[in-house]
Amino acid sequence: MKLHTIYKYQLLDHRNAVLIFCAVILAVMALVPMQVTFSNTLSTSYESTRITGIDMAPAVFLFICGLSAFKENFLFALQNGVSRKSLFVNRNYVAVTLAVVMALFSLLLLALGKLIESPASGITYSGLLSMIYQSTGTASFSGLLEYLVSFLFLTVLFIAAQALGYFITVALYRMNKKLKISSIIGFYIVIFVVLPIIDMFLSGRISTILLSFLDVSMGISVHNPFIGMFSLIILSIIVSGFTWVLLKNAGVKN
Amino acid sequence: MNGIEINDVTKTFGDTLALNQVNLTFEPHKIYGLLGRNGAGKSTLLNIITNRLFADSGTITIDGLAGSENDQIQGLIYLMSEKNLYPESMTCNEAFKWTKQFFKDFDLDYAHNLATQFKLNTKKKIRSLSTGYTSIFKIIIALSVNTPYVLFDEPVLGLDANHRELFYRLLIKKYSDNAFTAIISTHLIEEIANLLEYVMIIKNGEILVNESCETLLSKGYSVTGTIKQVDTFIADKEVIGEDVLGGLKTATIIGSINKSTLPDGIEITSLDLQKLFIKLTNEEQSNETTYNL
Repeated sequence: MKLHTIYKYQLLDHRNAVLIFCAVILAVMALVPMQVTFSNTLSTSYESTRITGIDMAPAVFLFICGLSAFKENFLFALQNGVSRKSLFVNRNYVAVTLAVVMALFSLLLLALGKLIESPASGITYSGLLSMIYQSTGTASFSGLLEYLVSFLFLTVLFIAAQALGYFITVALYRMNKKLKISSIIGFYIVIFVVLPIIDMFLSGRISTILLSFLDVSMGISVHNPFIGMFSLIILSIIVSGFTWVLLKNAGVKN
Repeated sequence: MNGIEINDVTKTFGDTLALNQVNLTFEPHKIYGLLGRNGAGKSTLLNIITNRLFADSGTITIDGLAGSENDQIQGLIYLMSEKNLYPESMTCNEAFKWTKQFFKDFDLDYAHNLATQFKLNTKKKIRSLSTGYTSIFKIIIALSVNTPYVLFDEPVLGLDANHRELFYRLLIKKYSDNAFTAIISTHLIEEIANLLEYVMIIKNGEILVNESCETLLSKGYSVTGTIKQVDTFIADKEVIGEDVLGGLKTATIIGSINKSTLPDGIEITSLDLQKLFIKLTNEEQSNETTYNL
């Protein structure tokens, strides 16, 4: 009973945010054709609009959902006699549920994009999958296969985004104030100052290695999204494993 | 039912030893007072029992089963903690409804009835409640949850005298209607002394006293009379406290009373739990004196 309840509680915790997000994205999707039509009416020259990778927005949104999903839920779970293990297991169920829902929403966006896409309107729409894997290559997914592969890829991507966000928030919860501040500042300094400087001295060797790693792990050059899915699943498992290590000994802080 | 058994529990926070090899048993259907000064380790103990903190060593069993990370066992306990663990954006009504989902025996109607008695507006968000009403909100859940073990950590924090009185009455009524184990950690000893069946005094992470309230209070007495009479009477006795008001003096004494030696004009009353607590937990005096309890 408690397991079911903590799942429901954590899921409902995201309900309003998800509804608002979907409404905003749909509004954006609705505004684009209106804006293009309006511009073409006013302008003498013909303008075309390309909408790409709008389904990256749910990934960012779910990353933020993961970031905000821990502290309150953890304390509330402990108040109601729910163990850390049950909280964590059900958090993962919630992450999968949200990922599936948002992947379906992204498919809806893809379908809407296809509807508004036409040479007459000047609008072209491409989803994240085709943006990453088809823009430069020969691999092609169309029709139902495109929807199916997109669904699988986005689901896995969204799970990974949430796992990463959740890990960061649990790690920050476990740190004391000094460590928290130094970690956040240290992260930005390393990523935005130290690495670029070293990279510059090494004639861009670090960024080349990182990009090659990203390319290989995501299967971009070989146009294989299944390699990307596999890497994202491995990433999710590793990150979730670290999260559990941090969470299993977490306690109430005074 | 075996109650809550605490065996050799030790907990440290950095260099601070919060609990030092604590051994205790809370039997079913009794009201316990867990008393101690600030930082004595009361809240830490309650938090470990309810799986909110982990002990460094030792075990805790509830009805014979390990309580740590055990959903089923934790469903038998409710801790009304001093710190609010409910989401601040939640309304009291929502908190009641969720509690009903987590604890199947939570009595929603009774909770609303109590809210009316305490004049708590259940439509309010928890963040907008005053300190007193936050305590009331948590008291209402604790009294309505109907688990076999209910732990109260500073339940009357910020409550006015009327609300404190109402809480004590409701607690006794609830206990009389359907006995459960109540563990009350509070600093207002005088107010709850009459409620308690057992007293546990904790000092610097160690259990100093663990006895029935009746036995503890029978180990001493208080005498009141003129200063001269009382001074003469207590000359050869183990005195743990003295108060003078006008020409009258009250002395609290450890030991049994021989009524035949009692001079006229001296009045005897039972031992004052709060005075005994102050004497036992006073750092400076207790380092020098050992009272024969």
